[in-house]
Amino acid sequence: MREASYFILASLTGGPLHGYGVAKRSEELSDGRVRLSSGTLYGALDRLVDEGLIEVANETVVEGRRRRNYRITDAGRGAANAEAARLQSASKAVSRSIKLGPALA
Amino acid sequence: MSRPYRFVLRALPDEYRRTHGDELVDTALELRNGRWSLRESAQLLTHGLRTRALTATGGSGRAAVGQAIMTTIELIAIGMVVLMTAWLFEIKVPLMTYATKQWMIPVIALTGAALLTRGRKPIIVMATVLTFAAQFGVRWPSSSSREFAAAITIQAVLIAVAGTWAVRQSAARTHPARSAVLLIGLGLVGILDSPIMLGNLLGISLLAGTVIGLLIAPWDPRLLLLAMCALVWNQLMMVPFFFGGPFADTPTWVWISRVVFAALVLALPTLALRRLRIAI
Repeated sequence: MREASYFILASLTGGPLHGYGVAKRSEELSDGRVRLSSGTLYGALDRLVDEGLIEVANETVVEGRRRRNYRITDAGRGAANAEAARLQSASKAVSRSIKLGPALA
Repeated sequence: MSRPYRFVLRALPDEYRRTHGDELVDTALELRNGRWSLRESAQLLTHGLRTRALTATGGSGRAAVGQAIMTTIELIAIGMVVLMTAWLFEIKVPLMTYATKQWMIPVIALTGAALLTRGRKPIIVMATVLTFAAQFGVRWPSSSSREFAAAITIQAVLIAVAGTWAVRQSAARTHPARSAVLLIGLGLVGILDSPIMLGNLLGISLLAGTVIGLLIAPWDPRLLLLAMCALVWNQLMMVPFFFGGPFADTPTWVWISRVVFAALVLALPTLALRRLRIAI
């Protein structure tokens, strides 16, 4: 899973958000590492909707402008959990390897 | 501040832009605290082109890239064959040397017409034979200028007729993948071609026409008009030479025939589109 997709899914675990909200939340969760531009953001959102990992919760009208709010689906939550577990496992393996480094040499 | 973003959003498919364009612009402005950003514009443009390609090829990015590459190879191969054949002809029939390269673009445009009609091979053959017939087969009895004027007028009529026919054929299409692929292919040809032909009006015209096309053209027969616009532009770019420079002694009626060329190439397919009530 791409890093942007992972943080988009993670940002939606707290509840539905619109595009700008997703971008800001992703930036916070990643400690500023993932800074999504609007093109990348909506490209990823469209792809995740197509894959059934998120869905449009509703559309609101703010000052005459339509805005889509996205929410994570059960499949999306499962995918985010699986990715988090994979990253955690990979991280543990690398940490263990670093600790055992001199012994292996 | 939203205007530059709205301009690049033209790369999105019409329907998508109508539904979500405002939202994308608002988000782009919010992300940059209301300021314009080149990075945002570039990303929006990329998103638009990607969405177009995916829409046209049924949602598969790999298929879109694959087809674009194949179309590019096809167009380059056809162009090379045409160029080499032109050089062969030139050995037997001495003609103005710049005429050889000039055939690459009309044939690419006509090939485009053929691709728009879902790759019907007969029109490719017809286009190639007729354009060569116009340039090399017709031996006008008087001067070379007369021959040249007659050749480009015949060429204009042929392109206009083939274009009109292609537009009529493509109007019945429901799945516009071929035209999407053609535009991407033309874009790649333009980009690949420009360094080689830098300084050549044809190369610049094709490249500029393609860039404009990428920004404004949806996947429909208007694409054919864009290829034709590149041709017309090329003709019109020659007009200043009428007032001075290397072609200053060219007879007036040769210039008139250039204008006739431009008018015919644009007018006939445009009328066909209007008749079919396709907005231009």
